[in-house]
Amino acid sequence: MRKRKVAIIAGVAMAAMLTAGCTAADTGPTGAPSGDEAWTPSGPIKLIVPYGAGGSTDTIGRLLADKMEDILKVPVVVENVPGGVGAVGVQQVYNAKADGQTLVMASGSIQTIVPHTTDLGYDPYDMTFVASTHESVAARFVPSSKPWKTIEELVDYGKDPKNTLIDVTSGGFGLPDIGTKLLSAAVGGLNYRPLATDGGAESVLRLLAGDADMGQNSASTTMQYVESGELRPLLIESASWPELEKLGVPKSSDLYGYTIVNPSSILAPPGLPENIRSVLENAVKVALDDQAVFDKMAATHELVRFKTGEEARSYAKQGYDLYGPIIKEVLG
Amino acid sequence: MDSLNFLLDGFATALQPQNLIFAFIGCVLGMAVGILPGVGPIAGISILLPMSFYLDPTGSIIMMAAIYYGAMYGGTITTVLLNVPGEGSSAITAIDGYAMAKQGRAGSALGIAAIGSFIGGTIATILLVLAAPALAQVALTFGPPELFALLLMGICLLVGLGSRSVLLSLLSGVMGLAIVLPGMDLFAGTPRLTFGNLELLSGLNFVPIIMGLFGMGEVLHHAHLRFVDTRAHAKATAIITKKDLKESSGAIARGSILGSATGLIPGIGTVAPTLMSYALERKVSKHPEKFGHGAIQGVAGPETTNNAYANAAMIPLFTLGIPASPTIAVLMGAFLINGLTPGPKLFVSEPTLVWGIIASLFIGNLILLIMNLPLVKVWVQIIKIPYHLLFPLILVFMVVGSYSVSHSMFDIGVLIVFGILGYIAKLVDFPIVPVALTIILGPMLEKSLRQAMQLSGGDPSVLFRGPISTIFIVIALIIVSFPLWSRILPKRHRRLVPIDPDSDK
Repeated sequence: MRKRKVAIIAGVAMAAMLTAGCTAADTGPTGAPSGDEAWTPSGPIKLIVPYGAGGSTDTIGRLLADKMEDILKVPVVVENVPGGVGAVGVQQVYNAKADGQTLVMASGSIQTIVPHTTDLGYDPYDMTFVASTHESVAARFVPSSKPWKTIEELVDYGKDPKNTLIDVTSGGFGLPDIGTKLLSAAVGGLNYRPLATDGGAESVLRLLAGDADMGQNSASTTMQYVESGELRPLLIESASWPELEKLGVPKSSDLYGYTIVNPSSILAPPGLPENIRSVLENAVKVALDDQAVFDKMAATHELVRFKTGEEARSYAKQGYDLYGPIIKEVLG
Repeated sequence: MDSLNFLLDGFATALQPQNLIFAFIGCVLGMAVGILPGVGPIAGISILLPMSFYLDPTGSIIMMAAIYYGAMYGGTITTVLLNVPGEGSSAITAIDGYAMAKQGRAGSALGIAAIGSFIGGTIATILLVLAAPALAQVALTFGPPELFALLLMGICLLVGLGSRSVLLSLLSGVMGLAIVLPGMDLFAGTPRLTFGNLELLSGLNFVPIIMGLFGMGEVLHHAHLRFVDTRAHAKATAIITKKDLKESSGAIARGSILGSATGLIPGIGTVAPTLMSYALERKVSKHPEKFGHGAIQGVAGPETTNNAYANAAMIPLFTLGIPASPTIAVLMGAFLINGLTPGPKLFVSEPTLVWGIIASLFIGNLILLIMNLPLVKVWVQIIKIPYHLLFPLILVFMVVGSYSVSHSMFDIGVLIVFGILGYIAKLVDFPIVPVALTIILGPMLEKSLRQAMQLSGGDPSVLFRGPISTIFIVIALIIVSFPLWSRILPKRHRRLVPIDPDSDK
């Protein structure tokens, strides 16, 4: 039994490798969307992940695609299109035929920040929101080698004009930068300067090394250091973060009146007929209702929960509207 | 002593039949993605990621790790035989590896790469067993100023590489820097020199650039010359000799150390250490003029380094839970979806799994060696294919490979443009190696310097904040001032003769 399983896996793996280069060609023309109530996909569905392989969005996308295959009875192929910090993959789907065969898994910044910083040539909010699978948690951390035990102590230190905090960010102008801006505005001005890095893992390193004083980060690289006591979480900046709430970490929404919104949405081309959209939306819901799938997704430390297309849209828009003025101010 | 006991238990896990099969499958798949240009280990591992859903965690992680280091070796094959680097980490091997193939020594080049890879990988894994926790601290002390100093030293070592004139090399290097300027600015988060083009937002991919400059340029040039190289065919199956081994032993030893050490440094990537190894070998060689003309050290050093790096890069993952490279980040994803958080706690909570994986690194390296030494004879048959059949095949591979990097037609355009540039460079004998070097090192240099300045608020003295960075910068200064010394000591002048990889035609 074992042997057979291994042989099958080997075979599938070989086939996957061979087709890796040509998956784009798989999704051929599939006929115009019909007006039938019970839409069924007419061929393989392509789920574009507009980032490189391996991130949490990619992992969740692959787990989702795997389950949706069982539900929709057609292959669901994940394709990484990492160009343009996510903009190219979303653009491909924006320009694709609105027949339900092409979807994109867009994570937060491409819906909330990049449209403000970059002329994309398209508006993500013209697209059809199918559903949402997860959002990212975020909290402000300091290394335990630094003296601050509470967010108030950190803020008091940063407000003193004699001091400058080094705020480690995940590069570009992203949610960590926006979190610090919002905190600074709420407390009447912090003295800090950013230290840009390539992302969450590198920013944790700079905190552990003591190069940086504070930084906003998500869960996958921080939780073990919270447990070992090397990182001290001072403020939850996303809507929630259950593990940290249990430790009694306060929320920015309670103390300073702001929340970092970082949702991931599954988007389809503009004008996707509702009968198709609802079938896909339901498939996502059924996939997330499966406890095994849910647990695997939750293991990425993202906040996994199903949202309808409409909920996903208004939630993303909330972030878009909140961040716009801040980004305009920074970019001048 | 404890570590060794755990390791023995680990071997008991890794030697279970199904885990052995997983290691074997991983090595084969890794070789396959390494050989296919453009499809790297990242793509290979992430395609298999959902499979860990159905397998037990130990088996799937053993397989994915094997893909990673298997690809390091697979990339060498097309590089040596066809001058098509299947992997960035093999790009520098192209210079001497392909020159060796043209001399009919492809078998030697591939053989020494297999042996070097095995030794490098094994030494790095021994380090992981013996000293991982202590070494993990290195990752923390290596901040932006230290990384900048190291890269500065590396780029100084590389000045003058692959050219008949230092001035042409510099020009070529600056062109490489210009190519990597467009993209999203890491620090401001706004587009830089993208001219409204979305594809340029992430910058140009270096895989199609390197394949174009080296591989496609070579193919076009051969077609232009109607060049039929019969020498390569005659002796293509020449296998590795004792002399080869003796000549390479130093390079393999240095590559093992260099790869193991750089594996601890987060953010340096797989490619830069191989460049440094090449430069180092050329500096220490008694015959630097042989580099570019089939010096076996120019193959042995970088190939040892990239496998040592691949195995050593597991150290920050296991001990800090920090992925040191993008491929390791994908591997970390495999841990996470199995409910395992990499980090020091994992050694305590899941010793069977962790030590099983470590033991599998030894086994995987051995599998690769056993598999590859006999296979060398098969691989070298590739160059016996007549050029009029082989070249179109290579072009197809390069186009598919470029496309698969990010599923974008744009990258095929990049490949063709740089292929034509590579061809023109061949015609006018313009050095292309420095372009490739600065494309890889340039962005890292920029990032680490700007980060260092952000840290200090613009005070350059941060570059001398500790002994590590100070030592590297001093060495860099010594290297740059070397021409002055050679004027004073004329007999050492020979060491500075720039090499020209193509003058043997």
